[in-house]
Amino acid sequence: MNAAFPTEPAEKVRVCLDKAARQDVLFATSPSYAELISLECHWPADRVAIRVHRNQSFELVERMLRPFLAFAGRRADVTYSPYDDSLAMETDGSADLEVVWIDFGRYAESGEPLEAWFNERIATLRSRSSAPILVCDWTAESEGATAFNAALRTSVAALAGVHVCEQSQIAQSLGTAYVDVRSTTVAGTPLSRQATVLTARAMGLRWIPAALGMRVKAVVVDLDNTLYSGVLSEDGLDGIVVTDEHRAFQRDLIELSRRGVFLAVATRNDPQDVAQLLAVDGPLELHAAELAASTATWDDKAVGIVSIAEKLGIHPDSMLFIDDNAGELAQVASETSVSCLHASDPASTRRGLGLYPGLFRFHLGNEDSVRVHDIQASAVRAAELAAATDPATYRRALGARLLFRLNPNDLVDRLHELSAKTNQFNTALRRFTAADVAEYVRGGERRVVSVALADRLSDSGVVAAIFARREESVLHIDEIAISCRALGRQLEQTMVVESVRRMLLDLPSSAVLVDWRRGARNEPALDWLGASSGSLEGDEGSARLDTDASAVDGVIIQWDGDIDHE
Amino acid sequence: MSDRARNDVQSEVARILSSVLGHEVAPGADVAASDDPTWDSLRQVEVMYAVEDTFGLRFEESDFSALVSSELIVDAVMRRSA
Repeated sequence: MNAAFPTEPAEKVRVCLDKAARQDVLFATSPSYAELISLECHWPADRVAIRVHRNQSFELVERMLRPFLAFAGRRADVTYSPYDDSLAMETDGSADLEVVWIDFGRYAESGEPLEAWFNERIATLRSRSSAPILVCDWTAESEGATAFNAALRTSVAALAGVHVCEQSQIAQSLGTAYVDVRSTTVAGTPLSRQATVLTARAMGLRWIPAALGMRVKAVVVDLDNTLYSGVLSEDGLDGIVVTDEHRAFQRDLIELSRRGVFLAVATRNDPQDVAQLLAVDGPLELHAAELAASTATWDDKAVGIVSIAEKLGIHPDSMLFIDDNAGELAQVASETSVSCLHASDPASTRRGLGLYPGLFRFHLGNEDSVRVHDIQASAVRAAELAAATDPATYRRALGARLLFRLNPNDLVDRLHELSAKTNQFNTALRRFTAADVAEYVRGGERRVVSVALADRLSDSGVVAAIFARREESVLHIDEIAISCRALGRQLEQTMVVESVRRMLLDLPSSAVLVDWRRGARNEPALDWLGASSGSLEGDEGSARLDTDASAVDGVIIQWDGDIDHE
Repeated sequence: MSDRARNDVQSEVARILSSVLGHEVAPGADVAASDDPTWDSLRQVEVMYAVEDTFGLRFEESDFSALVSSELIVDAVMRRSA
């Protein structure tokens, strides 16, 4: 998640503690304009080019955006359209993100049908840029604005990579304090001081990170003085204090788990005490069943957290560690690339969790709700496989089923997510945007196949995407992205070859070449490709794919609309 | 109000102007929008918002276009704090 993460331990500790020291300002219930505008944020950040299409000023929000976006490890280079009610949507396509920032009140009295025209303007922008697009909705409190926003959400759902930012919720929360006529008179922007701050915070910590694909995959929490007040090993189960705010924080964590974020505990405590604490009849809202992993030892927490990452099949830089002890945070920061949140008190920790970059998402897919169960099933599966005498017999007993779909129009977001997020099994690291994926779905000389996986232990949902393009009678496999949850079952060859055979029916070709590029973590993908296509020399290239390879035994293969065959 | 109180206000206003305008403004220095190309109408709104937030006061609409120098801002804060 942290492309701009420092590598030197001392620098990592400095950044971790510096960010922790500024949490009170950034996550305050009513953030102070004066404190934010003078906040020093010397944190590593990747530049992100943002193009704002507008008919009102965004500049005050941009200035206030700086500390929030810096906390998320980004720094914005913003360019602006002219003030343009006609929304020409001029862009050279070089922006990493397009933002549509409109005062819809300016159209209210025109009498023109606004919805259809505005949707056409967004579609035009979509056709000119492959970057994610954020569209802020109408903030007026009127039936017309409410109906417009509802229609906007529906129409935007049909456009790949376009997301609606609920600016109207900020307006609703502030009521009449959302607008400040003094600012309108002087600077042409209606936003009040509070509205400017809350908009910048939502943009910097939630909407922009989500649009850019930043994602926290796992939240690891400390126990003592984080989930409750007290020290378990000293105060005992009866001596710890669990306040209402602690309980609310635990319910927030459980809700994250339901939204596909892995929950884990890392604590220096006796494992038996921890088991009692997290039992269903224990004193906490959070129970062991909601945890994807836990480590309770007297050893280094960083080691425990890395072991949790390995168990979950994710990289530490996509994890968030929450602890009340700044020393523990510093140690974990120095030894890993895990992000850290200081748990000063349960109320502020709740606010920090709710705003932490990478936890907000515009949409939840089916895969999000199954992810936690799936990882628990994988532990059972691994144990059963280890005990099996014949892998094929075991796979048959497991009832593994692969469901293939060609150019699935309704899976653009999921296929984009697979391309953007998979690290271990990603052959060319092309990181397609949702708009790029939509081009493959549209067809022509391109094809994309999605692969869903299920067995008797879990339904993993869509776990693989294979993107191809025919050029001069050669089928180029531009990208193969397989979720780490599907690895280790020897299904990769079957997924790829079955997909490519289907593509060849549509796009007959004289050869099939898989594009590949060596990255920091995609060794599993290149090992597979090397084993099936011969050794891979250098850092990138194209490898010939043998499409005659047979499917692995014991797996049910099904195409959408077809009958089963094995 | 004492000289010390005025000095404190001057320091805070200078700090705000430094942050908003992006260059150092010394406490007590008389800086004016008319002499500073970085002090445009948007920066003026930022200055007003930050001063209000720092001193816990609220300016009139007319102040937003009238308080266009460090000394005018300090005077306005002192009047409202008296």
